Amino acid sequence: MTQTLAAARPDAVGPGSSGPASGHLQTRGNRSPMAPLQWLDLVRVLSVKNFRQRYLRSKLGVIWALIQPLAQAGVLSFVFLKIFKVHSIPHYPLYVLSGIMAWQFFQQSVVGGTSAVVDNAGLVRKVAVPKITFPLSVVGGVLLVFVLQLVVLLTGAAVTGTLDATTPALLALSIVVELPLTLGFAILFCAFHVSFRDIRFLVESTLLMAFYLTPVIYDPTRLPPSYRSLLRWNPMDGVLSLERAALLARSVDWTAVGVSAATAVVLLVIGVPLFIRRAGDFADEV
Amino acid sequence: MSAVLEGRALSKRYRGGDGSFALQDVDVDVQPGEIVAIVGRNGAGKSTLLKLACGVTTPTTGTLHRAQRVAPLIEVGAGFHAELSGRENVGVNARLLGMSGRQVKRRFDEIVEFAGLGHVIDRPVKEYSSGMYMRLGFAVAVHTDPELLLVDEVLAVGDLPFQVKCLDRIREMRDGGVGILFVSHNLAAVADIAARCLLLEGGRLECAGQPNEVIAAYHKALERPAPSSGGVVDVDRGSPGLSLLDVALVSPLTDETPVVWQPSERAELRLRLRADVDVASMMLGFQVNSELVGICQRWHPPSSAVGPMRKGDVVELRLALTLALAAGGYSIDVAAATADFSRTLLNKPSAVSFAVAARSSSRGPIDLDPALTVIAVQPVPLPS
Repeated sequence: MTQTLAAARPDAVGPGSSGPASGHLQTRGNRSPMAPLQWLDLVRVLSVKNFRQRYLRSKLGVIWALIQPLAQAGVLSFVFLKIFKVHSIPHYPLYVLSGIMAWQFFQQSVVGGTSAVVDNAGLVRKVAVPKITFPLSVVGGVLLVFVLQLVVLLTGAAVTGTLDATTPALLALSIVVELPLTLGFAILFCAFHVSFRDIRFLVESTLLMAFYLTPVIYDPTRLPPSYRSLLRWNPMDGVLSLERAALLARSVDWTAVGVSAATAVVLLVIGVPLFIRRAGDFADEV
Repeated sequence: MSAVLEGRALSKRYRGGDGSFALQDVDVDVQPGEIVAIVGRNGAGKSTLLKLACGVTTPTTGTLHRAQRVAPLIEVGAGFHAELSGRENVGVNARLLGMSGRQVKRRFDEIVEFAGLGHVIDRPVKEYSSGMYMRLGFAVAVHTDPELLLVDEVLAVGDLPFQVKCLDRIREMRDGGVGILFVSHNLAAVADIAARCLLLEGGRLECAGQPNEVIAAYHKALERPAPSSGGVVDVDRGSPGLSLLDVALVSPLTDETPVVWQPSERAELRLRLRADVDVASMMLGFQVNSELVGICQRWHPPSSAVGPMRKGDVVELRLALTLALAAGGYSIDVAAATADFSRTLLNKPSAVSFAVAARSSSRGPIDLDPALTVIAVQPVPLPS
């Protein structure tokens, strides 16, 4: 009936795992009172909440999630196609729109995930849920936006006639790679953001620059080979390559995809245990 | 049955703080079906103890065993999102407290009915009053079937009928075997429902035992300066003109301060003031505050009541009062200004605090000292 919480970190750990010992205190291990399925349900509900509250106040609601990138892609297409007369990328409007949407998913998830624990300070101080719930549900909320945007992207691909049999598999794979990559960054940054609030600004400005080092508005295959191979080290390069292969019938740069997947794994393997170790002090620090 | 909360030699020092202990060497036990109250002034470590009990933070040293299902009352604003409806917030909040989706569905109607918010449950909670927020929060927490319920000042918000309902529910849960750890400044409620009471002072356990004894000790402790402030503090440091030498609320019959006052009991506020400057004329002000409903009465005697005082003069005053008050915790503020209000001479919020006991089967914010006399029963003439 009772649970031992001797000096362990009861809420820092995910369901079913056991916390590390600290200091001279006896630790007899502990379990979070939440079952894994129940915890996933909590992540789901909080994700939906994050998604809903983002657009709840506006009249057009979630339509903004589509208008914004569409407008941005429209302006970029106009500039490149009409003013600079660059016609080297086929179906440029869809090309740039897919890039913007995938990038926004990444950028908003990482920025929001970084400050997730601090933004939920009231709950972190009061409720003993695993702290990793907070960055996860921020990313979950942004993922729901992206899923909606995918409908627009697929419609666009149908119009341009670039859908084919490999589309579903490649699109699914692009999410399978981008989601853990995003989570990896968000969790790692979030782990440090609680004690070092500068992280958020650092992340925001770095991502601003990273946008230009990511082939969102340009085509990496048209770069000189030396730059091309350098660009592959950007983990978002592989994600975009997969996504555009799915929507625009382009070829996949599997080397870049490999880099993306490996980065995701490394980030999670380092980030999650680090987060859990630091999470014990979050309630005191937020 | 084993304890739902068992803490031994708990100490907590916050990282990044000034290195002092927020809690030091505190033992706490809550048995199933027991209500344990924690009293103490602000900063005494009450909230830290609750945080340890609900598991959001860990003790620096000491051991803590607790039940699996612990329900904290989430403070107003923390758990709710203003833009979402009451319905959605219940779903989120209940899951945060460890309820499964199925449990939420099953108990939803019960929660809404208890909160009495059926008519607004689909409105965004930003339209709710703070009392309605609290009602919803309390309703969710008590429906999570906890083994240990942590109650933090729930009785400070919400209207009186709901407070009564909360206390009834807390008693009901206690009778159902739930252990309850209860932090409150509402000493009357503490004396009323707690089986045991702990007094925290400067992070240490000052005493533990019968609520009435502990409350008496708390009243004593309140007369001393807070230990965390370090050294002796003049009761009215910084008051520019008058010093409050001493103040007490006593019964004129016994000349003593009861632990808990009876409703409509006569009381006397006795105070001595010393003029630190020459005071030509002054306006005294008294304000009685209730922890539940705020200001009960603000009153000032005519400015001629206290004549001119020269520097160093001491005046002794007695303010007679009838405590026509309902059960609850109260405080009296004492203030003085020059007669034209151009200068504050004294400002002493909560110069004294006191608690009034409950009158059985009485509801409402005041006590009119009701007494019913049946004069006669006129029998109806029998039909002939």
